[in-house]
Amino acid sequence: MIIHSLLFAAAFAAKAKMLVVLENERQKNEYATVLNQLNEKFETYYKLADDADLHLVKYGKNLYQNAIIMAPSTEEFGGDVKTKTFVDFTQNGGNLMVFASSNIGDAIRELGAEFGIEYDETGTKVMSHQLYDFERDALNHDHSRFQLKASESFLGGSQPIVGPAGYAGLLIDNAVAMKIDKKNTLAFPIVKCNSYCYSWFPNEPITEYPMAVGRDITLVAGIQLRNNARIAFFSSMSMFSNKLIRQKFITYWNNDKNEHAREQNSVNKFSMHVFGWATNNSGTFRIAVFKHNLVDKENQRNDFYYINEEIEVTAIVQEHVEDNWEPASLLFENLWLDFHRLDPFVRMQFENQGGGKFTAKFKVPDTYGVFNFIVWQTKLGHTYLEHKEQITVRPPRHDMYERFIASAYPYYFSSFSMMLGVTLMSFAILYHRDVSPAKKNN
Amino acid sequence: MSKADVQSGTVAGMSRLGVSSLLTLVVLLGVSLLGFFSRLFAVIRFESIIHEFDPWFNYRATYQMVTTNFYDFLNWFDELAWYPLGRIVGGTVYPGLMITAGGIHYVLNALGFTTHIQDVCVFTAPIFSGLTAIATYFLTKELWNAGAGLFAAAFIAIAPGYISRSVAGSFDNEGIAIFALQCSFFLWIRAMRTGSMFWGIMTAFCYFYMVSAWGGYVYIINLIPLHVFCLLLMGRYESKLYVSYTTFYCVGQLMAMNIPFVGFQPIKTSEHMASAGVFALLQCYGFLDYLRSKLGEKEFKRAFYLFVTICAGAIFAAVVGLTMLGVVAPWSGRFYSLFDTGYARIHIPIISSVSEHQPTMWTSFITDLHFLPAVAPAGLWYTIRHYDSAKIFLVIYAAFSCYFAGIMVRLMLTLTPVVCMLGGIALNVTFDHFFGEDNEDSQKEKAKKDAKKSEDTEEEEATPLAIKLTVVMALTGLLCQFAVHCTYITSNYYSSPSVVLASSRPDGSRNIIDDYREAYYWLRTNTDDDATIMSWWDYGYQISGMANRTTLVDNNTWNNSHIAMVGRAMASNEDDAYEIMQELGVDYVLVIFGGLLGYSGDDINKFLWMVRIAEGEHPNHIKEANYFSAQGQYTVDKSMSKTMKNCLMYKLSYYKFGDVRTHAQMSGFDRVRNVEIGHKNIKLKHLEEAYTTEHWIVRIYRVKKPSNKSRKLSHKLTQRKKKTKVARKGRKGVLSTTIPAAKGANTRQKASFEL
Repeated sequence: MIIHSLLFAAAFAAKAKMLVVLENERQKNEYATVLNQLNEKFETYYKLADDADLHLVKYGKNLYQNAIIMAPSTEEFGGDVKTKTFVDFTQNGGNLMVFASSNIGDAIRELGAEFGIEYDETGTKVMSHQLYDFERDALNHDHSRFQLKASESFLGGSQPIVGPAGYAGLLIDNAVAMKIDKKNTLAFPIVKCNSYCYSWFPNEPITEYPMAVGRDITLVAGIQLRNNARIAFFSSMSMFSNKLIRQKFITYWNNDKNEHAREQNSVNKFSMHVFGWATNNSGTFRIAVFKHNLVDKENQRNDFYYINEEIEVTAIVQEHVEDNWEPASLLFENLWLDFHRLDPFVRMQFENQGGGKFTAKFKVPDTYGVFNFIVWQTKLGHTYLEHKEQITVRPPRHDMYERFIASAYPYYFSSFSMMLGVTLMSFAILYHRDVSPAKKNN
Repeated sequence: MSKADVQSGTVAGMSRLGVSSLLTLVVLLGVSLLGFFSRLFAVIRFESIIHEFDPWFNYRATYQMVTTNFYDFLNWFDELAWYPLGRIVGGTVYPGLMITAGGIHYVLNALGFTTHIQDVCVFTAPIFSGLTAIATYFLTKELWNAGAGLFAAAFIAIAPGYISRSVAGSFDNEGIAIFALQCSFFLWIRAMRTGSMFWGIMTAFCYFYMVSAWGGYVYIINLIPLHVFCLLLMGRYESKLYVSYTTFYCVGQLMAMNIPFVGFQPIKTSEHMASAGVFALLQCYGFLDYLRSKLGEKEFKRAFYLFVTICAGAIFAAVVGLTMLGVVAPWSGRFYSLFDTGYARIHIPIISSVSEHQPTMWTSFITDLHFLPAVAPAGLWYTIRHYDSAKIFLVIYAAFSCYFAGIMVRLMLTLTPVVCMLGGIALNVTFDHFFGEDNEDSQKEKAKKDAKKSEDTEEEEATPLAIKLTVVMALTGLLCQFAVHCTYITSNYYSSPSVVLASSRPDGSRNIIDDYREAYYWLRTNTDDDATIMSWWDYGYQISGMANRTTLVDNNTWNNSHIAMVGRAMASNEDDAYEIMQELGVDYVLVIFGGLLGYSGDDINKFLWMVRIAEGEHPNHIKEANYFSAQGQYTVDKSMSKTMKNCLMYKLSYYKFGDVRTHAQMSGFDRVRNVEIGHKNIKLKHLEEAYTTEHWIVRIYRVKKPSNKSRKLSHKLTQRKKKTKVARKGRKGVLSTTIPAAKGANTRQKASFEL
């Protein structure tokens, strides 16, 4: 029944569906601020992690477009959800957000491992002695609630994941250290620790080298699979709780002014951006139109080209905004084109015409064969843009060559003069009687 | 005989001429029909289908030409072949065959006989075999007499050496080229005999047809100049020779250059330099001869030969010099390998990898020609004994054909006509001697003629009847045996289409194995239109012809490095092969595997050639020695090397074969190599089995796309403290933390919204 209604809902609902997996009912209140953000954008379904009726995939189809796992201590999920279920879910294109915390359970740990993310041991916390919450931790040694400046820990560059600048920082709480496997080329850190952090059991002597220290510790990691499904791993869950979001001002020691400074906690803005990215609501592009033709001859043949022809390629890139496809914004700056036959013969940048329209003009190389137009763009935070179109480049037809060329005139002359000569000779031989044979006979 | 009759000029002689020419006509017609029909075994035994490998391309090209027009065919760019390089078919093909078949098709349809082009293609070779018999008759008649011609025509009509290349369905260049070859030789002999420009130009036309049909035209353009050169050496120069050769050479080469594939080769490559040199030499010789006739001095006679030698030397030096300077291309590898048998094996493995390029076994002379090799020397002896300018040609023809047939099995084809002609001459002389003397008129006539010629022919009269009868009967028996042998070989060995295989069941009935077509049909119907299929080049033409899919390499082996790339992919381990296949854009891999059925022409048996060809281009990656076992053997059993075990070809051939119980006690027993395979539990990482035919002959694998997923952690997770694990009960999950004790009133409350 539920499935039926879900399928119908999928067919008619404008909003994408999201499954929220919680540990217990109370979390709905504790995380109301974040969950309300999601409620606005998605059709949300709540389930408990140990619910015997927990399903993500049924009959090979995803039941939801997005899933957010806010159950860090899960040892085993209920229902038929296993680590492999999450793999299937993402293989089918579902987006995933996974929260961990220092009391991380095996199910979350295995889920991370499946995607190349390693967590530190249960009970360890990421701690910093630099900007910890000294009002709370004045007397003990559990400095696991600390502040991170955006400028030293956030992903830089212009990308849609955390969006443009304007962050002060985050208040990290109760986080478990996370490390991205180096071999895992699809994963990237979104928030990293600064170099003062380390990961260990609080209030315990450090007996061996921690799993990760300083910049090695990743707090938020993103993965974009090759099918453009997105996964975000958060190492701390409680930093998104109402309580910490509400704690709007965090304090730290300002060396310049020699006083405690107060700044805004950016976690609300941060979560909006990252959730937006992870649910394919920002940085999602597609090539809606891809066409090619001879320059200025749009309606003529474009199923093959001859060598050295001037051709024009047009691509229209669209962006996914609020469940609609709209012309790509200015964030999408450039697009590259390969004209490829074993090797790229032409590699060039499209000209941005604005409004998501890109054009490229080039001359087909002087080599025949089966070529491919290839657009293959992987930019951090953007969907992978891939487009491949096969085209044949032919040598000219036998009648496309120049018929009379100047340098051949000597040959034309020689052949015609030869013909004339042969004719004259024939006449001479046939109609000219030599006198000498008669003489010889005599 | 007939000549003698004409000379006698009597009424009886005239009527006899009529009878004998009618008889000749009937016999000739019968012979050519016989040649046609004996090639139909393939159709009767199997079906009207295109055979083997190259004919599939020829058929596809002809189909292309018939469905479009000639100019589209000339400009046809085949994007299904040699992906992603493509192939300009018009410029890389001898179009004679397609034009011939297309022409026949056009005429038939214009006359109202609606035929499909495939049927025309199937029957083109038999039709031309009938014509070859006629051409052979005329050539032999020109060189010897009509009787020998009839014998030769009958021989060539059914000789297996020729049938092997011209059965119905064998739609290949050779099928029509032998006709063109015999025809050009006939016209050349006629031209040099008569010294007429007309026949010289006719020779050139026929030569043009040959050029348009087969790369073997080089044989003509070297043999005729050689003939001329020999005649010059023998001092048999005459103005007839000058006229015929110069007309033939100029017109012929001009026309040859109009074939796009040949282009400027006639003036640029070493293969054609002999003809150009002889042409130049003939000019000098002719000029000096003219001078001599004008001057008429005795002293000049000595100087004359000196001049000619100097001219010959200068021409030779010029050709060598031009070759050294690079103006004239040196001999191509294929041509060179004809003179140095070891050359191809070392330098161009791709040529020697073809079975028809192997040296000929002596048994195939018997199989292909039966008793003809035994009588041909007799014919040659008669030819040499009664030599004249024309007959010398036959001697040269025979000598070279014998040599080439010894080098390559394939060139047995050029030996067959000349052996048939020589056999015809030998038998004609013998029968004339033992059989034809009972006629009084001709006896007298002959006696008169012979008396004029020489004395030793007198002995003929003394042969007793018994000996005559014995010899005649023995020879007739031999001829009958020849016919039986030819029919047997044709029907049993040369009629298999090789696309369809046949085996006989224990009870003698035939079992048709149709795996190839099954696989190609699967490809045609189950894969994307632009799917690219990687296979060894042998199957390229068949895949594009029958499955209509893109191939990487095919039987037109023009790009060695591309073939080597495919060989390297087959010889590498799966990971490396996957990289190569990704680069080449491969969607499917097709391998031929005969281990289940005992079909020996499979890819594992060809694999060493792939390795060799790959090693030639990529010596750092592929080493032939790595594919041999420690004992230095090429094997697939337990003793095989690690490289062999991991290579793609082994994996694809034997995937899941280990599970097949081939014998009562054994599983995975390869019936071609006669060993139990060494590695049975084969796992594929980047490929998956897509299709395997009924008898496992063709196996098709799909190349997987790169995985969507990011990489799993490969190392063990950090674990410093031991944890107690809570067992899961039923379908409910397990949380490590319990719900913390209530702190506020609202948390105790039941959830206000539904789950």
